[in-house]
Amino acid sequence: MRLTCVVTAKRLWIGIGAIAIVTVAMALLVAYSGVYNIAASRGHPAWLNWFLTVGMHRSVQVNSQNIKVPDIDDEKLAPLGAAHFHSGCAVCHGAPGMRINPVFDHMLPSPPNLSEEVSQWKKRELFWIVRHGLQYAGMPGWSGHAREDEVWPIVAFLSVLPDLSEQEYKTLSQGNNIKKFIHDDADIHPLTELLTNCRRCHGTSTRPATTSYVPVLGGQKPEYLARALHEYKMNLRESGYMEPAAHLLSESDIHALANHYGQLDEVIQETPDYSNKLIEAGRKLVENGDRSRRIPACAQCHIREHSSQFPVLDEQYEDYLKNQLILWQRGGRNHTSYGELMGVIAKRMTLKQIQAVSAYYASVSSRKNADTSINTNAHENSIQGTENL
Amino acid sequence: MMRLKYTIRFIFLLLTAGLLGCKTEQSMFSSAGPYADSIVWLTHLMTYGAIAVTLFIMLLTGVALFAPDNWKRKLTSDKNIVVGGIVFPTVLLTILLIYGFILLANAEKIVRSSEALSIDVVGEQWWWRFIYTLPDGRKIETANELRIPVNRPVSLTLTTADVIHSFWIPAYGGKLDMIPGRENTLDIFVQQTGVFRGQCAEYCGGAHALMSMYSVAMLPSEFEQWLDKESQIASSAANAKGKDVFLANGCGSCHQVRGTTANGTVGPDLTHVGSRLSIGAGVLKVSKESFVQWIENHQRLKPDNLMPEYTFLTVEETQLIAEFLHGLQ
Repeated sequence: MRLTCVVTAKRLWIGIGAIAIVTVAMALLVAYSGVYNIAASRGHPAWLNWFLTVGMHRSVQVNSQNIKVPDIDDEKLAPLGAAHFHSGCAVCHGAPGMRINPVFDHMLPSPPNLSEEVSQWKKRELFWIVRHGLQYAGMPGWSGHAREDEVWPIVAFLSVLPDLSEQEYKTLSQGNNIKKFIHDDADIHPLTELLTNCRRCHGTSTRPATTSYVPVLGGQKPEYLARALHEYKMNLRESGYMEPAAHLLSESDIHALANHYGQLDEVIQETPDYSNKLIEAGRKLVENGDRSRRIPACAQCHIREHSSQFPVLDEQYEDYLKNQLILWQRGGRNHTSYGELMGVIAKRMTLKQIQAVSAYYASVSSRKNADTSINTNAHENSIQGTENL
Repeated sequence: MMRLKYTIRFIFLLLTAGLLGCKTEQSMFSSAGPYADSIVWLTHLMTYGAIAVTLFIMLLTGVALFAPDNWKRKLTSDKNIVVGGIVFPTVLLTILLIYGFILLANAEKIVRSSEALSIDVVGEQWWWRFIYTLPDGRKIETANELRIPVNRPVSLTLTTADVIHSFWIPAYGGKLDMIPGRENTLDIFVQQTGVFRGQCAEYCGGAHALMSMYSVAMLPSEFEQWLDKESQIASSAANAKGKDVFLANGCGSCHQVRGTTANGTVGPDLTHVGSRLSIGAGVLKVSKESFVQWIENHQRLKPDNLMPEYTFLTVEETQLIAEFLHGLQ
């Protein structure tokens, strides 16, 4: 007896359909029966581990392939990345001289020690992971919506991380918070504990900020500073750095910090030498605006005498100002009515005008002028003193 | 029966609509000076002439269709076709053209007969900037309100800050485009005092329909008084609190109020805004409440206008600013 089976197109489709139904039914059966043990303590079987690792690597490679790495100055940006890494990432990933927190070490997959593993990734892949996070791995996406600009300092830090010693890491991530920098009044300051988070990046009365991508705070209007912190806390102003920091603050903390910085005489970084032409163009725009582009004069709002809600910009860092104006142009700061107002103006500015204004404000120094006048007086006094002698 | 009733109603509606167009502050048919008079006269002449010609042609068509054969034969003779079809329109249109030139030239002669007052007008999205030159050479700005003396020629230099606008106050006659990179001159001569309304007559973007202006034609002595007052700095002392709120919130970065530190040139000059007829280029009649409304709601009252919104001002602050602005007489 011979059994013959003729494969027709119809029978083929029926066969495929049957196999699909059986597969789905099996999968449901496995899930419903509870046979698979999902305990993190048990770990993944080797075959599944291999499957997930390959899938993750390929996904990161493919999704990040169109990202253009900007011309980043690692040394300039790394301190900012390091400070955030210390408060946001080190708890899971560890850091030089600091073991992974045992609680998080028992996650599955357990977070990798980045000093050892970070060099296998390209910069654009690191950017993508930090920006978007990873599903099923507990890696969160960046908390500042549309703040891609903030991710690059993290990438800059990660590129220098493998070579850092324990001491170098501490210097980089603690910024101005290191004890030898805050020896005088700060040690006994009642806000010391609150200020530890701020000082990792922002300047103090004896030290400039660790990077020119964070704003100068000393001497700023306290009402404006309080509003900024409040907006970060309420998710009205986007920043992956400031939102987590402001999240920890109570209203009275915000008030105290705003007043502290309002009264602080901060040390400013050395400003680069700008061309006179650039500064002159910036000064014109600040004082007169540009009627042809309908840009009002900056100085009508951003002066000490006017509304306490408008920040003073004298001596502000160029990088910070430029970054914020570009953010405004992209609509990244229009969640509040103050932000919306500035957004209208920023969108009327050209990139050249943004550069000129930022350079001008960085070069303007009300305080340095005051210092000079004091010095001149002192000089005159000494001359008079000599004559008297 | 019903049909007749509706037809009568429709005709009545058309008639009243036509009448509504007359003798209002912004009507083509109410002129305030000789130049506009000539244009209105020419408009009437051409309209009635065209109606007469049309009726005549309808009559001829009737003849061609229904008249006895010998009438039809006469109508189609070579002589009648040459005279009626070529000679008549050529002669009539030539006379009309020459008459038009003479009429306008005469009107312009009146306009240019004595020394003209020169005013610069800049079209902006979506308002009008008026710049007066004082006898001492100083220039002062005002906005959305053209004040002129009667019985004196006025020469308007028209330019634009952005796109093409068209300056048109129907009662003064003449409509002239404001073209980027060009300077156009519009001469006007007004004899009748009063308040007239004008409108941008060339689509210029979002808020074009709300780009209006008022013009006040005044007796020469009154005009001199007005110009003298307008050239003074603002009478802001009365409301120091409102002034502080105005300045503190940066209003002065776009608006000038002479006599204060507000020196912006992006938006309309507000030095004497309280004494103007309208705000927002004809959107609201000036009153304290209007200023409050404008500050709170200008993007609803005049959508897309280029002033940013000030939603962070408190009710008290808005009131104070409105009081200050209304006090700028």
